Amino acid sequence: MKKLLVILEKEFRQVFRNPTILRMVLIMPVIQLIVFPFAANYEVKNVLLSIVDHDHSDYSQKFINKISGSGYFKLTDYSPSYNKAMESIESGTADLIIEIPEGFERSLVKENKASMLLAVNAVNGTKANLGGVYATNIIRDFNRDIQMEWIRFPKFNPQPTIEITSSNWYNQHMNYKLFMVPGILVTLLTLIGSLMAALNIVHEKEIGTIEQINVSPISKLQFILGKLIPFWIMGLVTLTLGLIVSRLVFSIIPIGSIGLIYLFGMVFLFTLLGVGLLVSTYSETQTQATFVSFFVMMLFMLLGGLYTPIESMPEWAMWITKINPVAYFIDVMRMIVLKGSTFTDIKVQFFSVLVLGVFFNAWAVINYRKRS
Amino acid sequence: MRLIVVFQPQFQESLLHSNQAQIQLIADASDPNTATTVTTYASGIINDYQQEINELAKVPYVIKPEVRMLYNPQLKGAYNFVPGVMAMILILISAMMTSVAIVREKEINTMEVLLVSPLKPLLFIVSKAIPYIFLSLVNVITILIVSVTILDVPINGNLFLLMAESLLFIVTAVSLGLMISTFTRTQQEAQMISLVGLLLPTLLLGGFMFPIESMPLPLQIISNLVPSKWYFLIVKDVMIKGLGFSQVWKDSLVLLGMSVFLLTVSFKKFKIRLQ
Repeated sequence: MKKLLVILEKEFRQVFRNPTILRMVLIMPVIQLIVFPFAANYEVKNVLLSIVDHDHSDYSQKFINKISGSGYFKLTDYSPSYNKAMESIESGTADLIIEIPEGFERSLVKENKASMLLAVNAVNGTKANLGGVYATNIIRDFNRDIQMEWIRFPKFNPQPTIEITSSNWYNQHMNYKLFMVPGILVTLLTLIGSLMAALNIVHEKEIGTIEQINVSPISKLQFILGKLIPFWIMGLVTLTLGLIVSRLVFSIIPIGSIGLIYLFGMVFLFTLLGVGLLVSTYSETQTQATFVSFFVMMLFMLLGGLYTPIESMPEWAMWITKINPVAYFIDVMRMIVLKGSTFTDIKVQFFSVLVLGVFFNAWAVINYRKRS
Repeated sequence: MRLIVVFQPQFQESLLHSNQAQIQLIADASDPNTATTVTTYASGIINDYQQEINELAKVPYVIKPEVRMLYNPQLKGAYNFVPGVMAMILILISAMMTSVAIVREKEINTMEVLLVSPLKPLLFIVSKAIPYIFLSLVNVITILIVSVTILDVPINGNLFLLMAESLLFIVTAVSLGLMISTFTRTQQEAQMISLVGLLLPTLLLGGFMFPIESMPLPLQIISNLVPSKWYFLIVKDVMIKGLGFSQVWKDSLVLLGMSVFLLTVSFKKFKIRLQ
């Protein structure tokens, strides 16, 4: 125990004597957490709209007014032809073309039906889909208005109608920040934790001080613990700062218990640092450690469920999320913060991360050799 | 579980007799995006079903919207993700590799040897950068092969133009790495700054995860400083839309400007003396 304290003292001194690292760990995450949730918004607004109106009728004018007044679309130009409008799509000044054919009003009134062409720039599938859905809904609405104008509906519906009502639980106002802030906090914690741990032992190897540790009378376990604990505490400090920021800046107050967030955070950091230390024991140079941990981290983060829902990933990726501590933590953060989940709700995630942590750390201890 | 569908009591009777019935959709909106998508899907299916019931009854004055999805008719996510991941990986790897490699010379003290040698600083910087530029080009080729063969994302435009633009972007990224290396002393610092400082900005402000036009104005302005945003636009235009240089020259000019700026700054700041 006493030996461990001595190593800890050494590690802490090293950390505090490097102001750059300290700044990176404390200030950078806070700034990023304040700024980036404003960027992380999937809501599709201001879809750029180009209209090709061949009809120039009363109805087509009404429709154009309706769609440009809806708030989702920004009318950028009236094009004389479809090909001209395609040019705006190519140059990026339009996302959506609506073409109203000649004789639109006439055929709607005389033949009882008319068509309209929507062409969406679908390079970004999600965005195109949403834009298309908005536009179709507005057309449907417009259509209903016209029908109301022409037909007097009987008291009872002439045909079976299903009325759809929908409600959004846990996040009624569909506030993206509630959803993104906990996730971004986990991302930042992951970045910092895994990097610091991965570089640390290798740094000693590269500058040669590892030799001194190898000849000193400390056990492998003590050595690894001495590396683990300082970063673990720094990670918890980052977590605390993050929670304070989300409270003060975004007024996010977890519905569940904060103690539970910390409990899970502790286990998560233990696992994450274990992965970093494991990478560190295998690498010879810092460059090597950087790349391996970069690769692992990208995999963890992109498959963590923050940016794309896990359910829509292919099966092999879903398997990776089973051994991905980041995915578990993001999931648990959301459950505690938004749904107020208790320990019983998250125990599967908790024990999975704990088992992973014990596994990676044990591997790191075994793999670290005290001889060169 | 993401969605609950609640039918009102006596749904069928109500629908058949009074011609009106209710379905309630309850979505788990702790993930708003998924909630919206799932609700939209479910409403679509219900509307389809309703149309099936109404097949016989004729409704007058119908506008039929015909929706055409350009460039990506199946709405595949990969069409957006491939350019995005390319931009992200290239900038992170190039900037990080370059900065770490140069700082390494400082850290293990071989820099001294290089500085006293008759080598010009410019030559030193250029020769440090070239291997990484080459490696990153190999990266681009690998990503392109993977996207064409495994992900089925076609290269619709000119391959040479795409490679030339990638080269330009890599030069920008490497210049960024050079600049980072001029104000850091240890590899750890260089790596921290290039990763922590670049990863989230490229991911969030690069335009491929979140639509830039929905962001608040200050962030829209800041996003112009993110090199990957411009490269992402270029790759989408050239690779997916199949456009030529006349459509992307402005974006390329921005990247070129950034590289010149970064190179000038890092060359000015490059110290030929050790403190």
